[in-house]
Amino acid sequence: MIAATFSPVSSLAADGLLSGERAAASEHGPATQTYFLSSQSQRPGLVMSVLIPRQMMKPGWVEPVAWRVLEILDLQENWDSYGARPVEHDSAARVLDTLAVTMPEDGPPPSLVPTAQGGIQVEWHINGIDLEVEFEPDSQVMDLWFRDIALGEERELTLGQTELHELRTYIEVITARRTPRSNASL
Amino acid sequence: MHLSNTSDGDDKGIADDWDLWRRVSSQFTVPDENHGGRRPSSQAFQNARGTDRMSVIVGRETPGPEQAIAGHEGYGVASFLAGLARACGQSVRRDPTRDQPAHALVIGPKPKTVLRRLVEGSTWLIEPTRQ
Repeated sequence: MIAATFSPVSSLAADGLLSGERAAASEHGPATQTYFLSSQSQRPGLVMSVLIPRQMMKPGWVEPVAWRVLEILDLQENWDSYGARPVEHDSAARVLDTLAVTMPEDGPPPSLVPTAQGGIQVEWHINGIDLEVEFEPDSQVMDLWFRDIALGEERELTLGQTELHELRTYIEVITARRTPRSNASL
Repeated sequence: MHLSNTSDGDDKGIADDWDLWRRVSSQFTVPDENHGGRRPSSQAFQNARGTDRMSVIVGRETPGPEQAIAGHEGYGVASFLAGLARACGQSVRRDPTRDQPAHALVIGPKPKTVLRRLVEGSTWLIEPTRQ
């Protein structure tokens, strides 16, 4: 399980886990077998951090997604100039945990977009496919939209936690169509 | 002062072929490898939290898109037609403020189908810059 937290700067600096505004991934204790990504928060005296189990660092999509989660969690009230809420930690955790079980190792990293309600929308617009998955705060379901541009197919459905295999199927379609030069960025 | 001709909350004085400008945070842009470049996320056109209203500016009544993002570093401006909003079941109504006389509202529920139509019917006047 991937965990995202806020921590006081002082405690992390004392542990030698903070170096500069955006720390490189570093091992957080041999016993825990986790990697620790940290980034200085906009909020004075706080550091954003994501702990990732070591075995999850192998897929290429994990680290860019984790950095993006850190950016999103650091957004403050009214971050969109229209009164948007800060993104809830639970939403971020759900996104990370869902991607952990649905993304193939070589899957293209998605874009992560905060929502005004405090959730996160995960998106791919690549390989002739549009896929959007919205994680609303205080909800255990995901709203999914899939469009295959070439085939003219479009689907919209709501998935629960027991239906993650369906999301995996759509992500595998995107991955399978990947051309050698495709390299989505966040 | 603008005269309006409202019907069911919609201001017919804002013609269908008038541009409406939406200020877009860089947080709402995503890469689009299917069409090249970056596009607004559908979330960029969502209603303000807890409301059925999306803020816009009437383009023709504003000196330029730069004014729409004055004081908002890194933001962009997306433009779409008032007629598109109405075709999506929205009302378009003036809502002038002291700071922005050309301010207006696009009013109505915005399910995913509406958000996607607004994305696909919009163009960048100013693309957000990543912070």
